[in-house]
Amino acid sequence: MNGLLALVADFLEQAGNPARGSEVNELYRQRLSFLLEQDDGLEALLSSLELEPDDLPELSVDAWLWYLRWRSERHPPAGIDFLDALYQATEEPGVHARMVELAVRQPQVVERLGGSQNEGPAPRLEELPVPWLARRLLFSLDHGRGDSGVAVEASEIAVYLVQLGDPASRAVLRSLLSDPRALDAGLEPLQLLSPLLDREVLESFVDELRLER
Amino acid sequence: MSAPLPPALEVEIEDAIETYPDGRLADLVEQSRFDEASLPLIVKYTAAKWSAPYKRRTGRIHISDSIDFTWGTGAYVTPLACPYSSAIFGRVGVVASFDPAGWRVFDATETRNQDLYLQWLRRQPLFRMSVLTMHSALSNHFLRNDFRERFEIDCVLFEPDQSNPVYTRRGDVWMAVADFSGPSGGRRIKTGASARFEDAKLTVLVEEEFEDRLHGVVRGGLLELSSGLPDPAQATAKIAEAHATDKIVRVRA
Repeated sequence: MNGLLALVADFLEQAGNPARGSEVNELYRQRLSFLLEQDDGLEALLSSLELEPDDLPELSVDAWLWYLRWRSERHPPAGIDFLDALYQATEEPGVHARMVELAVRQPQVVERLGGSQNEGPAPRLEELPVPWLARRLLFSLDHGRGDSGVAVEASEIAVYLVQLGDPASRAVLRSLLSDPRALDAGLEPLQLLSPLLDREVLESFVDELRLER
Repeated sequence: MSAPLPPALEVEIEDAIETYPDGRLADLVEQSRFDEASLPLIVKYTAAKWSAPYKRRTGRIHISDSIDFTWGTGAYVTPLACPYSSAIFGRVGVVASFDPAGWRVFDATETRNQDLYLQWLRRQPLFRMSVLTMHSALSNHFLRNDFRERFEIDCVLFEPDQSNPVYTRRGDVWMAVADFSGPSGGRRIKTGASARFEDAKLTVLVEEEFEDRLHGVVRGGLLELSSGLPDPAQATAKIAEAHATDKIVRVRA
């Protein structure tokens, strides 16, 4: 258990849980901004909390998401096991979408994948600088097929990556849909993308990612 | 960054975004200065609790990222031309200056621009979730940020969507201003303290207290001791002068 987390949990909950009301959330977030401006060491201390799955009950899912979003601008992401536990704590698509966003928009991920030109073969999922997201995708492709044989979670994550649409998200999407295991798991690019995109842009998007039709 | 768009719609949205000094922001800026040589001013009303940094002039304008804010994450402020419009959110009026040179502005008070946003929205993979599920607040927050990041919109102008019959006037305009990090093409809206505004000072104190009515659509006054407020144009000038001379303007309930 992380003692510092236990000490600040109530503050983070007030700042991050919409159930406390947006006036309260904003008041505590503003307070945090002021404190960060006045104490140089506070940001490093708060953004580098070592998180383990058993820390999950300390905050609501909403407060965790708010904290992780705040942290993502300042520090490398939380550990894979913690993120897995948070992801699995809810079926809420909005939460899952935001976690995928946090994974691909980490500054170090943007730096490495932001200039992706989609030339040459797509990197394997295991090679991408998004270890938590890659693990979820691989688990889904290998073990997460629903009754229809489709890897449901990987399919859901693919939708979020299309929505995000930045170069890093497209690079991860390209690696996913180029992976032979994805095809085996029912993720055929045109079939997956056609309900999501205008016909006018569908083919050019598939070409841009150099996906097989 | 958002899902790929039909090129014609992308061009239409790009054309709708005006770069200051073009567009409506220019008028608001002109009405929000202390004098011709000064930078324009905004006001942001906040709670009295923990507002001391504004009194000490060490506080910066806060970037709001609660999911129920109208245009997503941003510094929600009001041009000083609308001096009382957002006083319904707190007793402490913090006045700050800003330099909008080169800002990309999306004027969402225009029906045509609202239509463009809706056309963009309908083409997003999360559109269905944003209108057909109970997750709409979360997905709309996500989508609004996505739209503003995709088109690198520094400022959205919009009409007040919470009001009080005395404080909020028809025709008032509010601003959602983004601070960005990251390179062009991968912009991300920041949270925390905004670097868009300078010289933030506690300059207005409002006597009235407000509470949510109709789930916050109306912010009802609790005291309602007076039947009206001073003329907004005169109040703008008075508040601008108070900001320049380190005074405080008190607004009676």
